[in-house]
Amino acid sequence: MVDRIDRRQFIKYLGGLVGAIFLSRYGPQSVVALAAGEAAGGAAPQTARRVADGIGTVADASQHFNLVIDVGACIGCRRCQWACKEENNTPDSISPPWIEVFEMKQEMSVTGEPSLEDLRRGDTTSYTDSPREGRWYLPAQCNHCDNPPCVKVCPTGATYKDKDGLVLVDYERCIGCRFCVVACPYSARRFNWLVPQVPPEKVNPLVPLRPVGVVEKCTFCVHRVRRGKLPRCVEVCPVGARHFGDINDPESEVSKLLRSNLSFRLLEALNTKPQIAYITRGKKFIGKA
Amino acid sequence: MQERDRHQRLLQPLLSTDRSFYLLSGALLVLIGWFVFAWLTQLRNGLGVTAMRTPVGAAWGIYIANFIFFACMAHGGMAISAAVRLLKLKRFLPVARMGEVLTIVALMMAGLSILIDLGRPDRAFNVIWYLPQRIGTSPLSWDVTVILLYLSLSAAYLWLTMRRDLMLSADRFARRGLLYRALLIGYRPEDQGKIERTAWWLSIAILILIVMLSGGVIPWIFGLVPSRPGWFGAMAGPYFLTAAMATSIAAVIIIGTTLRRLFRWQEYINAGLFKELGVVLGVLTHLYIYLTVAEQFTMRYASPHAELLVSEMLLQGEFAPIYWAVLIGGFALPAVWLVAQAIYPRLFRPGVTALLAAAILIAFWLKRFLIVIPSLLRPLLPFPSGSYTPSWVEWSVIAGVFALAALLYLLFIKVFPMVELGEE
Repeated sequence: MVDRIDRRQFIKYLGGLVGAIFLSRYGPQSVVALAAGEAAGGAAPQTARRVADGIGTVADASQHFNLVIDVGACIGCRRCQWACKEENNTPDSISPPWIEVFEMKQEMSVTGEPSLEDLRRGDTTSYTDSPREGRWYLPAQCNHCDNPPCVKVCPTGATYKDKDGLVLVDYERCIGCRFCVVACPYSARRFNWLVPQVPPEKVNPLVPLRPVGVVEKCTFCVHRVRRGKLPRCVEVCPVGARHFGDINDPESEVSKLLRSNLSFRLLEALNTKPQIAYITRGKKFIGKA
Repeated sequence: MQERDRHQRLLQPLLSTDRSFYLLSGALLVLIGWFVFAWLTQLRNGLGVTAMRTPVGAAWGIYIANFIFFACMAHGGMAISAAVRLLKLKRFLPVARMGEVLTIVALMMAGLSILIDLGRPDRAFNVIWYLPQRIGTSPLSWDVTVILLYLSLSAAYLWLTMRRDLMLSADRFARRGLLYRALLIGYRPEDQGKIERTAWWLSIAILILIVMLSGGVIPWIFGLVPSRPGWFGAMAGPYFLTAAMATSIAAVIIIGTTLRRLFRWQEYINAGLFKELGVVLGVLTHLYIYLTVAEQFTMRYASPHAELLVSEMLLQGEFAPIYWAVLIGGFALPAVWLVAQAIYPRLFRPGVTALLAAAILIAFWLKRFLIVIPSLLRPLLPFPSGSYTPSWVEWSVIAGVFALAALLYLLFIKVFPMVELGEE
């Protein structure tokens, strides 16, 4: 027979046990994470568990992907938008495709800070013919920020910044709280409000189908770019306005473009460090040439 | 004998139950049933059955507004009680437990509102599981941590301070005996001094947590998000804290005056108490109006584009009718009247104070709507402005959550003594 233990002792033992379980599960990890300053950049990447692209590609830390969009060349045809939808199994649903193209007034300066007039217009995305005189076109999608607000606010680490610069979503971990949707200044995130329906013959097997109730967004076609191919939106652009590549490689097309052109990024004042750069090299299709 | 009579009167709701109780709880159960149906519809089809949309539209809706409303209401209730204990404000003792129960019920409703808002409620536990990795930066993780802490402290506090009353009344009830005995486990009357000291320390911890919670992590869900015009800024903390205190005092006034009248407790609960609470509510509401004006002034004077557009939506656009009704009818007029009572005591009537408190309470719910929605309808990129009119599912859920809160409160009144029985 064990000696009777009094209440004080019992609480002590119980407290010790709970503390031990807690520490073994949470302790070292969180202390290390905080000490390493990962607090600032988001969750520690856990490569082994990360299969968010659905086919298990792994980031190559020597690369850092950037997209360069030439708004001088863009004709607003929205082929990127529809190709993206096809490529990424985006359903016909109440959530729009991952890429949006805005029709902007030319009198306003070509910058990453939209003018008050463009914000007020309300018809920037509903245009039916393009290119129109006196307009320029601003395609926008996830900027794969280097200081991503969405990753910062995520309560589960379902969205994370990978080593090659991609910001991805783990569809199996996401709880659908939509804090990231709210925190993204570019409104780049989409939500599966309803059970997504993609006809079986249209499914791209390389991209996972998302369940209802989780967040999704542009992945820079992670399943393609990690295999050395271009994102679909870049491939289909009929005027060559989109360029994609590794800015860690000084000889890549994007590195050269960024060296030889002035560029801007969207809403730079928010310090999100967006990884899509806009240049105005072409200017072939706007107005009377 | 007089003591005996006092107990008899205060335990009235436990001793006898008339038909109106069954009618009321029946009505509440119908509402709750309807809510369960609406939630099942949502679970089956996804959040698409709500009016929330993104990127054009509101990604959060009245579920989140309801969450803030209840989370904030939870704070002041306990604050009243903790202040009573800390500062030994004996005359407020009769409403102390009303505040404590309000806290527990409101916190549960806040949690429920968040759960309903999740796209994947089945994975809600992920927040706890990944807490250690995310606690560094996610305001939502902070929220879960502090709310859980607050709930446990409040429940412990309520339990500790109620045990003497259970002891005093246990012998009167045959059927509740088992429950009471379970709650009285280990209770010794001679420990009363020890219990009071523990409760005193708990009050301090709770008061600090309240500032952390309603002046900290809940407003930071909004105040730390620079991508939403109208949310970002240091104002969020004091703004929400003031609202939390005002909301809960309003709720305690309504509950207190109603119970006092219903169970004829006039001789045990002094009406003057509600006058004083009313004055505090009036002052807090004035403060809130001031903060609102300061906020709008900053949003208008040399404002960034999107902030200007959101402010326009509120002051002269589609939300203007609600905005001005809330500000004038919901805040300004009741607040002026409540403060006037302090100057002209003749004006005071418990019923009028309760009505004004109700107006303020409703206004605060609407104000939460005005905080959450307009800022979400204005993206920073030139998307068209969205619109948001809650769907029937959302309204049913909100009604059901309120009904559930009322039912839980009602059950507490029926099962436990609501006013402290101890010496006068």
